[in-house]
Amino acid sequence: MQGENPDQAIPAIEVVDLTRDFTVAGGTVRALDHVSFSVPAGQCVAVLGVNGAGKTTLAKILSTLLLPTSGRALVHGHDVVARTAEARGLVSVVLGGDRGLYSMLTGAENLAYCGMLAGVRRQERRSRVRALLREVGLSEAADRRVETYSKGMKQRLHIAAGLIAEPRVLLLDEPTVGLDPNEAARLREQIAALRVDGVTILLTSHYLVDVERLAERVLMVSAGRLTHDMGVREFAESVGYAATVRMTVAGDLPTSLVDAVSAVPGVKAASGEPSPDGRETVLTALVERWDPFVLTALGAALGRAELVDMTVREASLDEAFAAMSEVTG
Amino acid sequence: MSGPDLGDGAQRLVPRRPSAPDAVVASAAMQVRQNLVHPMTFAAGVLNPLMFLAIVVVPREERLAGADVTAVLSGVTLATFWAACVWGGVGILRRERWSGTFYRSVTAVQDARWVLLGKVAGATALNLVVVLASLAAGSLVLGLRPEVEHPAALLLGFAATVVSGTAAAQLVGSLLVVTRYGVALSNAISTPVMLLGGTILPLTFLVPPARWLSRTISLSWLQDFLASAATGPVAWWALGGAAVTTTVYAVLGWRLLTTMVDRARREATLDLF
Amino acid sequence: MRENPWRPVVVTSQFRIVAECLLFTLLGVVAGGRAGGDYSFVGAVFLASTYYTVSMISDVPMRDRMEGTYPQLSRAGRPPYLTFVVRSLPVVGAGAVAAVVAGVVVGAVTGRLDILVAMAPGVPLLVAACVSGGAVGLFVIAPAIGTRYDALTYNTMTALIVVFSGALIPTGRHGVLDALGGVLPLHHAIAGSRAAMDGQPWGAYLLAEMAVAAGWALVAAFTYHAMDRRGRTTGRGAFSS
Repeated sequence: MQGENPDQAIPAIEVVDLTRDFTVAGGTVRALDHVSFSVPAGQCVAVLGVNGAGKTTLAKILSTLLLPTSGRALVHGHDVVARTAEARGLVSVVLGGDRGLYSMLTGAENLAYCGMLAGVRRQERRSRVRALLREVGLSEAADRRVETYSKGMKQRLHIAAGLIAEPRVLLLDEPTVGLDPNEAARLREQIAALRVDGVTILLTSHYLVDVERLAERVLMVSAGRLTHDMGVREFAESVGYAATVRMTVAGDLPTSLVDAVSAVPGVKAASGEPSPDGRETVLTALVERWDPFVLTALGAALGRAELVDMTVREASLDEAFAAMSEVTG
Repeated sequence: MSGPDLGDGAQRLVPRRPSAPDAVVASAAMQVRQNLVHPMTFAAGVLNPLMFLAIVVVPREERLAGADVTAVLSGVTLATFWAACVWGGVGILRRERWSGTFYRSVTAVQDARWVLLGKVAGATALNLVVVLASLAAGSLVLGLRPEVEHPAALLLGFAATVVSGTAAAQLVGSLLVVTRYGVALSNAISTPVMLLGGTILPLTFLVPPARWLSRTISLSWLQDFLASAATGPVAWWALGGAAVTTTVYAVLGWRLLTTMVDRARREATLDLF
Repeated sequence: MRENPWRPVVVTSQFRIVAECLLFTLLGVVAGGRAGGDYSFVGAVFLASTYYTVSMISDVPMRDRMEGTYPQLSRAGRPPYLTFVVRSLPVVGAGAVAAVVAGVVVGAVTGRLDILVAMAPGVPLLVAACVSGGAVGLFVIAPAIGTRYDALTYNTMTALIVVFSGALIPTGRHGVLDALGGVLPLHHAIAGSRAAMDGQPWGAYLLAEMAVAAGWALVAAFTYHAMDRRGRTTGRGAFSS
């Protein structure tokens, strides 16, 4: 069609039957087992899984650091094995952490060097370095040695290094680990801004708040296999309930009260236990949806019991992850 | 980021391109900056040369004169330059791996071989400059006056030393990074080269079979060339010998690095991540 | 040692020590013929111990810093320095063994086993040299623990010992430099060994070497005590919790 960018038809990431085996003492370990998925340009995808599931292996292959045993991985149509140089020009990986930077060089020197490695020409390097340092909030520390940087500053420098060549695909490995809440929030804002520029992001993180705030899609990996591929909302709802309602009522727990709460339409399950001092009862209800009707029905179910306190907590991605991990084993 | 307009309004993504000159120069400059602030540059480039200068010169300083002074100085230069390269050049790959920065070179748009060549070249050039400066200072203190009849040949010899040191350090560094015992082995290779390299120990002190072995070490050829720059005639054949050995190191080192990186990507043998 | 399996590490270390001993001996030949080589051989055998006693001994206090176990050490009943001294004993022993092995190999290769045999009665001098080397080794690394300067400190001390101890360069050339050598490890032990080979008494040299060892041990003890106090009171420095 006239005017349509043909590259928008090519996925930013395409993985076809990807397998990677490792030889270890005593045999072979299959880290990735015939994994297939594709990511359209501009999407942010979170890759979740327990330790050893294969997330990092996937990132290593896409970044051309590791060769697959079989199958294919493509970045904007360029095979990471057959057209490694082209793929490297489009993808950038951010590992973070205390390592991976030259501690005796300044932040600006590190970034300039990374820019050279990424193929940024000398003429544009200086301006890119200054602009990026400003963007990640490291302008004032630019001429200080990295060994004097805090953990958060190093993480921001890692991000800047990943962005210096304006990649079209960004692989982020645990970007907010070790950061305080303010730093983490700031970093998430910077990552979110990349999506506006059409950068495709593949994110691995154990902090599900990163997934919640940044990703629109979740790939769940377990024992090297892709077990789930779903939207973030669908992932959150996979836990089976939308919220946990805790109601503290005065006095002992009559069994009939728990039964009454369980019978409320929209309540998936309910349980009760005495409070630590024994003078009150705490009723916990897992509700499939939280709306005024459920609130009213719960109030009716409580009858004449004296409601002392009530809290409502939306089901978290952590609960969804835990539930999903149990299912996949 | 966008690429060239293909005329139908569509644009294709054009990846960035590598540039070998940029990779070599920028990597060399970066390595020089790193090594300049590392204390081991002082230990390897100042302490060690002055120590060997004292050992070699002081016991016979009354008997040293003229061309012998140049030969001794060039011998100490080359011997301690190589020792400095063992840390400064050979150790680069090992330190990159230890600090977790190696993966940047391996996944770069730039060819990792040019990047590492630049780093090693920067380190060896710095090593030679620091060693020469130290020995110049030491010579002043000891009152040594070398004779140099062919200064241009001497400078050419120093340039050849940097090239040869780079090739040798790259080769040895690539060999050692694939073994767990890299640190121990790199500590062990420095002195044998001093023994066999024909630098501070003249080749005449070695048994004949060992002299053949010495000729596989480029330093022995460089020593002959640099010493000839003192009194002439200039031993161009020695420079040729150095060129041949250096070329062998360079070819082997280049292929080894390629093999090592390919193998690492295939078998995950290096902790690159 | 777990991270670097001991067999290849010990083999490559001993190889390097023997190679250096040979190099120093042959440099003596270059400088002064057979007699020069004989002179240097004696010094080179003693110098062979310094790889362990001055350089490798630095791992003893550094290990606690690297692994974060120093706080437990500091809170134990005895001064941490005493623990370091006890842990250093095997390293000092390794230095003596390394020197003997180097002497045997280089003596055999260069035809100087007779000199080694003549040195044998003076073994206490070698032991004293290893102890004084260990004392100075523990001292020089102390201020550098946790910094980038660790290798520079023991390399500097080794270079000073090589040049000023009389191992390879005859003394008696310059009063100030001889005085410096007199407070460095190995100086008196090497002089005593050469005296013993000439049939002269060497007891005074042994006492002098032991005095040097005691002096450096005291300086090291004070230094570690001061660093421990600084860590406890200011929370800064290599030995802070």
